[in-house]
Amino acid sequence: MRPLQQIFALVRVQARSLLNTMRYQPGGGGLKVSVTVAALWYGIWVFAAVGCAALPRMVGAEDIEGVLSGVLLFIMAYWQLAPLLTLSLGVSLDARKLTIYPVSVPTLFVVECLLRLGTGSEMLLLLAGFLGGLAAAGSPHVRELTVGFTLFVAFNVFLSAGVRNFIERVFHQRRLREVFLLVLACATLLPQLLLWSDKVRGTARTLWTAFRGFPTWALPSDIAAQISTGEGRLEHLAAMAGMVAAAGVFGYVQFSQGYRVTSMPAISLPAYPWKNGRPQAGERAARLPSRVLRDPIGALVEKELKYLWRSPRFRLPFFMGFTFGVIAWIPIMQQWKALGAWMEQSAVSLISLYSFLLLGPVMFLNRFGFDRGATRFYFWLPLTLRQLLLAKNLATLLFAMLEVALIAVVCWLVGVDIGWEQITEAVAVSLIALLYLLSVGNYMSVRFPVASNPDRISRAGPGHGVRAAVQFLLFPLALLPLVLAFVARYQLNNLFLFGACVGVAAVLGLGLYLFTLQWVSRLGEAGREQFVDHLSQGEGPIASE
Amino acid sequence: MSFQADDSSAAETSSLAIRVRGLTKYYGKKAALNGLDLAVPRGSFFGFLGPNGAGKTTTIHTLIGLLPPTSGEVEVLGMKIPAQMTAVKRSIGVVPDESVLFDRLRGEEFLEFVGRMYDLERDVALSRARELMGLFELDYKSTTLIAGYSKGMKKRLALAGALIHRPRLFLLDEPFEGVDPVGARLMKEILSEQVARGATVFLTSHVLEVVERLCDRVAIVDHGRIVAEGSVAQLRSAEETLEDIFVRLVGGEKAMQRLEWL
Repeated sequence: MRPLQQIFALVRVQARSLLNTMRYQPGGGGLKVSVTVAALWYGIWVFAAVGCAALPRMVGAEDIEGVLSGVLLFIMAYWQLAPLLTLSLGVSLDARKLTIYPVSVPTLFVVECLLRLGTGSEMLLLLAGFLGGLAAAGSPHVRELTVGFTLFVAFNVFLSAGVRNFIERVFHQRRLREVFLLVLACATLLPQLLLWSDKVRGTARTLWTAFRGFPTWALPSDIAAQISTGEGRLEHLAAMAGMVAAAGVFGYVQFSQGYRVTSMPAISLPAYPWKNGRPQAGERAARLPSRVLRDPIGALVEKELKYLWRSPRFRLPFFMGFTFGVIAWIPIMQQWKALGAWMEQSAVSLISLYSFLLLGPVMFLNRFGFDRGATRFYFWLPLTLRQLLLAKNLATLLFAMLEVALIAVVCWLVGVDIGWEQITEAVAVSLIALLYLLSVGNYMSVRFPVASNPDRISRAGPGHGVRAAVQFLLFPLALLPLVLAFVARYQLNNLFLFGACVGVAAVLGLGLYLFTLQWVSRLGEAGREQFVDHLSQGEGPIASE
Repeated sequence: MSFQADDSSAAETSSLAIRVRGLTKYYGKKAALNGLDLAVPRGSFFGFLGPNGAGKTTTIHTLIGLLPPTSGEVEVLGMKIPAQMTAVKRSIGVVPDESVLFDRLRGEEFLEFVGRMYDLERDVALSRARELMGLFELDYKSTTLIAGYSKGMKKRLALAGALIHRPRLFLLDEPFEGVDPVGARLMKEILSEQVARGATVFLTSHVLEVVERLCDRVAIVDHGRIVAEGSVAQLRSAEETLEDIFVRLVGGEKAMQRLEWL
C-alpha cells in the first residue's frame, strides 16, 4: 500500500472513530453538545484571529511587521510550553494498535506531524489572521510572509513532535519517570536557594546576563520574522531551513524511539515494593480512611486512593500543583506586589485553586476514566451509583486536602508569610471550591466519560475538547461565589462581608453538591448501558487511551 | 427450528435459580433477545450455548442488572429483577467475558476489596483473599499489579473474586477462555464442588467438550431465542454429539462461500 494511501486511511478511520464516539455519548445529544462546545472554544480563537487580522489596518502594516519577531516568539513559546504546563499533549498515535500493520515509521511520522499541526490549530488561526490582515493592509511582503510563516510552522510542528514523544517515552519507563519527577522536585528548591545562597544568586545573575546577551537573531522566531518582512538574506533562509531540518531530525528520532517503546505492552508492573512482607507507608496510609468509614464506602475510598496514587497520570499533576504552582506564583507575587497584599495573603488559597485546575481531568471531570471497562464491575456489586460517586468524591477530597497542605508547606519553605489565618482560609476556600467542582465533575464523569490510560500523560480522545472547554468555561463560573467573596475582602476591605460571602457560598455549594449527587446518580443508573459501553471502547488508531 | 427435549414439567418457581419469561432486549430496531424463556434449576450446572452474537452475554448482563431489558420477566433465586436487584447482587458471583479487573490493584487487594463489597469483615476478606490466591496458584504474583497478569491469570482471579463471598449462583461468561489446561481443570473442580454444596452454576462457553463433561443441563440460544433445552443426555443421541446438534440448530451447515481471491 502506498504511503499516501495509508496516511489517508489512518486519518479517515480516526475521523470516523471520533465522529462515532462523539455521536454516541451516554445520555444522548452527544454530537450536538460536542460540536457546540468545540464551536465555543474555537470561536474564541477565531475571534482572536480576526483581531489579529484587523490590527494591521488599524495600526499599519509596517508597525505590525516591526513587532513580528515578538509575536512569533510568543506563538512559539505557547505552542511548545502550554501543552507541558497544562499537561495536555494532545492526541497521539496508538502504537500498540498500529504495530501489526505494514506501515513504515516515516509514514507514521507524517501522521504524527499532521496531529501536531492539529493540536497547534489555535496558533495557526492567529498566524492566518496576521497573514490575512497584513495582505489586506497592503503589505508588500505577502510572498515572504507566506514562506516565513510556513517554515516557522514546520519548525514548531517538528519540535513539538520531538518533545511530545520524548516525554511520552520518559513516562513509559518507570525509572526515567521518577527521575523526571525528582528533577521537578529539585526545581522547587531554586527559589529558596536564590533567597538564602549568595553563590546561587551570583550564578543566576551570570546566567541572566548571558541570556540577555544571547543573539536573538539566532532564535527561530527572529529569523522567521526577518524572512517574513523581506529583510532576510540568503543566510537567514539557509539558517531557517537548517533549523527546520534539525527539528525534523529531532522529531523523527524521538518519534521512532518512542514508537518502539510504547508499542510494547507492559510485561510486568510491580506494585510498590513491600519490605519484609509488610506494606509500605503509602499503602498503610491508604487504609486509614477505611478504619473510619464503613464498608462499602471505606473499601471504595481505599481502592480509589491506591488506584490514583499508582497512576502516573495522576501523580504528575498532583506533584506539579505544589511545585510549579508555587514556582509560578512567587515571581508574579513579587513583581506585582504593588497591586496589593492579597497576592501574598491568599497565596496558599490561590495556588490551591490553580492546582485543582491541573488536577481537574484526573480528579473531577472524568472520574471513571482510569477504571475504563472495569467500571461495569461496579454495576453487579451490591452498591448504588450514589455510594460509588460519594466514595470517589471522598478520595478526591483527601488528595485535595493533602495538596493544600503540601502547598502551604512549600510556601512556608520558600519564605511566604504563612500563619494559621492563611491556612484556615486555604482549607475553607478549597473545601467550598471542591463542592462546586465535584458537582460539575460528577456530571461530567457520568455524562462525558472517556477511557483514560493511567500510564500516559497526554489527554486525548473525543471528549477531550469538551472537557477542556468545560474547564476553561465552567471552572471560573463554578468558582464565582468565591471570587465574589475575595472581591468583598480585598476590594471593599470588608472582612465581615467576606465571611458572609464565604458562608453563603458554602451553603449554596453544599446544596448544589447534594442535589447533583442525587441527580447524576439517577442519570448514571438510567444510562448505565451506554455509560459502561463508552468506557469500554478504544478510540481508534490515532487518539491514545 | 426448535428442539425441546421431552422433560418433566417445569420445576416450581422456588426451586429455580433463574426464571426468565419473554425476555426481550432491543438495540434500536435490532433484537438482541427476542422473547427468551429460560428455567435453570437450583443446584445445577447449566450450560448456555450459542453462536457469536446469539445473545449469551446480553442475557448474563440482564441477569446481573447491567442491562435493563426492553420487556419480560426475570427472577433470580426467587427475587425479581429490577425490584430486588441489590439483594440479587448479594447472592451472585460473576465472571464476565472480558477482563473487568482493576488493573492498578494487586490480586490480593482486588479480592479483599471484592470481599468487603460483599459485606465481609476486613480480616475475613483479607484472610479469604490470601487463601484464594493460594488456591488459584496466584500467590507468586502477590506483589504484582493486575495489569501485569496474563489473560488466563486474570480469568482465575476473576473466578476467585466470584467465590470469595460464597454466592448461591455463579454467572460465568466464557470462564475458560484463554486459560491453560491446568488452570481450567482447577476451575472446573472448584465449580463442581460448589454445585455439590448446593450452588448453581450458569455458564456460557464455546468449548462444547467442556460443557458436555460438566453440565447437567444445556440451552442453545440463537438470534435471541432458545432453540433447544434439556439435559445433555437428552439432547445427544448415539449419532450426534452436542457439537453436531449445535451446528445443525444454529445453521452452520451451509457451505462455506468460496471467495475467488482467497
